[in-house]
Amino acid sequence: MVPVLEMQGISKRFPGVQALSNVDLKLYGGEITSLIGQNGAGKSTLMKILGGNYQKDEGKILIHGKEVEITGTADAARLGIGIVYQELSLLNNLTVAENIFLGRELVNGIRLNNRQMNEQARQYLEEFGIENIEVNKNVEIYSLAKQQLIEIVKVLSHRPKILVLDEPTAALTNEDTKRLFRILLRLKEQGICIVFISHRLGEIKRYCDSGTILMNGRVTAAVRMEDVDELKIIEYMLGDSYQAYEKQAVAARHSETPVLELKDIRLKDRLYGASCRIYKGEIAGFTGLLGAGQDLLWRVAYGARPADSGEILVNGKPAKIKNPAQAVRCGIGLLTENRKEEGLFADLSVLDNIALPTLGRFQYAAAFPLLNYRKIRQSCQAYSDRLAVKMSSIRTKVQFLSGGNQQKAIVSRWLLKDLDVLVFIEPTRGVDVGAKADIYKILEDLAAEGKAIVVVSTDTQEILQLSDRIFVMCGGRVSSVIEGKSDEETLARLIQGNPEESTPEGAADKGVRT
Amino acid sequence: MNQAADKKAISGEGLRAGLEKAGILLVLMALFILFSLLSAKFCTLVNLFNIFKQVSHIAILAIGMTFVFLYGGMDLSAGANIFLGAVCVAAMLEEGTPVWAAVLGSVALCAAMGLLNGIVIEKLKINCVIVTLGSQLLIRGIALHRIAAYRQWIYVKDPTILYLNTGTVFGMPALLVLTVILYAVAYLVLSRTAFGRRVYAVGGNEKAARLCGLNTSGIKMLCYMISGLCAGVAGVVIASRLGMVNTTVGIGMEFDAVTAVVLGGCAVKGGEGSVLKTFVGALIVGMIANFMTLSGVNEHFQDAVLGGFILLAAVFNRFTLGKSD
Amino acid sequence: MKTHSKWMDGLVYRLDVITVLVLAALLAVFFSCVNPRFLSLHNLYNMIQLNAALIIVSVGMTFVVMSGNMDLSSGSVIVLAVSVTGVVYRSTGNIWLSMAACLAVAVGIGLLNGFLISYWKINAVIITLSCMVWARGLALGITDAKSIVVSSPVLQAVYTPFALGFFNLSLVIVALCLLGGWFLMAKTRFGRYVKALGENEHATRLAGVDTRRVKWGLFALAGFLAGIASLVDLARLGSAVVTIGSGMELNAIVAVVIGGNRLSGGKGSFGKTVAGLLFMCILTNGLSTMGVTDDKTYLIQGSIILGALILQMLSNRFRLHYLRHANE
Repeated sequence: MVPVLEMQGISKRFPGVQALSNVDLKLYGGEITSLIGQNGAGKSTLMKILGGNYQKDEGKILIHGKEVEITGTADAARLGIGIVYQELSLLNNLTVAENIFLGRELVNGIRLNNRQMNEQARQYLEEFGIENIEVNKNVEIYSLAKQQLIEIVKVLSHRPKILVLDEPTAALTNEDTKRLFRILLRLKEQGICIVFISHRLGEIKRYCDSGTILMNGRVTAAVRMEDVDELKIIEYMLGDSYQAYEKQAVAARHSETPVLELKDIRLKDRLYGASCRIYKGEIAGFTGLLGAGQDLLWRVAYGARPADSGEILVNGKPAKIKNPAQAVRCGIGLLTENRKEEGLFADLSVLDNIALPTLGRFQYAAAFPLLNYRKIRQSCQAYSDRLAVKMSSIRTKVQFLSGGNQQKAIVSRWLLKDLDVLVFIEPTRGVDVGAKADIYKILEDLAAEGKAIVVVSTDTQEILQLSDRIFVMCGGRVSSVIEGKSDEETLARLIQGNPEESTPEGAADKGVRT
Repeated sequence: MNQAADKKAISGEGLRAGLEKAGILLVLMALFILFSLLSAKFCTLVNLFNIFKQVSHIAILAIGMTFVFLYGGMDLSAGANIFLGAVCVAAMLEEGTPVWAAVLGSVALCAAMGLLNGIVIEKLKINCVIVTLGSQLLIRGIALHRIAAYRQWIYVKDPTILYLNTGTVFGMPALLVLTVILYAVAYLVLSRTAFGRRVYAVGGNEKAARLCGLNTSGIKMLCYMISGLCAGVAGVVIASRLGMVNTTVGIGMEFDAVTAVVLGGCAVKGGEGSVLKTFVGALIVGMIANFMTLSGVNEHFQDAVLGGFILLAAVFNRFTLGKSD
Repeated sequence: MKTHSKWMDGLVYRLDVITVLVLAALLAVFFSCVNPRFLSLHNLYNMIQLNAALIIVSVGMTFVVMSGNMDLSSGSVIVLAVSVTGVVYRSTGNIWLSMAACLAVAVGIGLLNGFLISYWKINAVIITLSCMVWARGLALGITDAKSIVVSSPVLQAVYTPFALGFFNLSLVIVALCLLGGWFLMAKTRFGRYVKALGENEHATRLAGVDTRRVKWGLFALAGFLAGIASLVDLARLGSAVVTIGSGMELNAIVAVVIGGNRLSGGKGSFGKTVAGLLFMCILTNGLSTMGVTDDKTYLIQGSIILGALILQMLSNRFRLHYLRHANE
């Protein structure tokens, strides 16, 4: 049987990272194929190449055995490739029908034929068994899950032959997920080939026919689902390093009062009463599926997103944190995964990037507010040397540093500020392997010095490797806390929402410390 | 794609940095040589001092505009504010206020107007263009109300203020010295104080600046206040230069200042530019105006040419420095 | 939480329009206290006639604002177009040729601005700001800042009543522009793309829309409408006056925004623009009938505009807050 789509030997390099090397993928009509792998394994990159958003460096793409060139999104659309990306592309100010027909409206002369478009949109929704969505209402009034379904209908209305869904279920409830799979199974019967990307192995095992598993940009296995079980898949995802790492002795670092305590943090539709306590000298790892709320919780704690309710205690005292400035004053620093947009000042020098929040300290005198640049340079140099930031000079614009070194520069920023709690969201995303080890070392050293380190990551290996305690988040709350040693298997199961061998957060804290 | 862009950025870095540094100076020199060749009267010491004097109020106004541009904003009320400053200082002197109090008072009033702009823009989150367009009416109204009491015309007779225009310090025109001092201060503030560095940070990446724990809205409001303050000083300067204040003062001057700043290469999206380049931009504005006057170009066409220069400068920035938006 | 009625919901949902209408009503009451004839039918159509140019320019501005841009050049485009008309008429005496020149200049500037903004990706504020300066300079230059009389039966016809003793062509043109603008915005692809552009340019482009062409087109449209506005104003004044159109861009933007159209684009409607226009017309007309001095006009206009903007902003915040909780 000739595969509908075949990708052969695809390679793609980004500065500092080999995102894909020699990846093969075969898709057959009437099958749901799953792409499996950890974050950063290269799944999204591969699909973005298929969709024409990225250009491949090497390799071939064949459709029905014929080689095709995809140089832009228009090519992909013409070839019948429909992709539902992780981030929605719906326009909030337009109605459901207007969104579905954007760019190819039906017209009578020059007049838009709204009635017919609404009618057809309604038919699409009906066809895919989606209820409770009115086509003439603005999409913004619908929940994230419903918007996701609308987006899928929008792509399906193009009648694609190859349908790619990039983590479509992350925001969906169980009910909506089932509905989605009913649609997918029907499409499968119609002979459409479907690529399904998800972290939820349960879903994959249940609904997919085959799977291609990626690790660090390479294919580790291409399997039929009936031949493998979830454990086997996890093994393929993690490779040999799977049982290699063992965390050193832990518990001794805890002190009595938590340096930071979050109590019952709530945010509409996203966080449902998340609580945790962070102690001096520990590395607390937060993990969970995409959308489980681990990163959001820490953005809220940092004042970058307002919470609906909840309490934050710093050193046992209630603190008012409404914006990042207040958080920094309370001794909390945050490094986001989105370095370029939320961390760096690309046009400023490394020096400025490190010193910005601390500049006040380097004035000659309060009455004479000129800055002592010699002193600033010495301090910044000291910290950047300590973290071994590679750069031609501290005056270099930070945009010319590699990802890992940029990350180190931002860490230096908070070290100079001398904060008590440092929160790292996905600290090694877009960072190459060498720098990764450096960053791990830095985190452990900082914790040993008595700082409280919070690592938020969807990379379970990273979490296991670093954390003294692991907080697993599920559905907007901390579902379990793992003290001490753990392994990939247990963690993977907990993340999937299957709490065994664990205790709720409150009980865990009590159990250890009273 | 990313990789290609990166390579380009690195290999082009030297060239682009060079262009960024020298580009505007080259334009200044080229125009200078061109004008000297075209007009015998242009390249004389008297005329050069004249240019400095003629452009001083624009140059000072442009300092404030640079601060606002650096963070990514716009102040279109600067022209009205300069009028307010001039009217206030002249009126207060006429009423017998001591010179220092009159100057301080009018500068403070203009700074307050700037701060008001900043508060409305930042606290209520209304677009800066529309706020300053609106407040310009208000400010001009206040000034017109004040000058109405003097039948739309106030002479400045105070010798100290007039000395600013006619006098010299160490053989240099006093106005030139004042302008240079103000630019030196602005340069120090922008490059050597915490506030100055943070203005660049907010302009370069506001989200990151907020996440860094910087008080971004405070910084922005302060920028507007500085813009008002510079307008106040420029108002005093223009009162001194003209020796009188009437109702046409300040009209369109915000555009001259914007021209100077954009010519100097400030990115409209913020975060790039320097007050020294703005100075060069202001000199170019002054030279062009002076040359056109020397060669007898109709004053209205002069406006058209200056307007065209903003456009050219924006296009130039876009293509040599790769700054879109 | 669930106690509020549907009626209340609807009221809050339309709070932006209601705010500006209440403000307009308050102004109208105030002005009619000062001048009892203010609320007469005669003054009403007088108000529309005097503000015909503003209304027409606001139609174009609605498109520009809806797309998330801003056009600061309309006032200067009008003065340049009128001046060119005057100069052409003085030298040729051919009214049709002059009118064609007027429209050509206005559309030409719109095309130029639009091209620089959409294809060369230069900041719209800077482009239209520079245009504001150079076009006015050029207008003053070619007319030497003197008015040129353009008296032609063709233009006079615009303000000659042909029905009911007051109904004239200018009212027809205003009505046509408003209706045409509404149709284009609500009923055609172009309007929909403009709306989409204002919400999220990237997503719009991903949906296969040629966003650059849409942007170009909308600035050209704004230019064309400024051309029509020039002709209407020229007809009203009977000569090419160089102070024509000054402050027009501000008044038009304010009319569009005060009515409740979102300045950052994407949200709004022609109904909101009309409500905002009503407010602006009452304000300018009321001030001129009161015959206050220049300084007071500036003061009052400036503070009312700023005040109304702030009020609109606050009411919008309340509205969003209310709706968010109503949806829970």
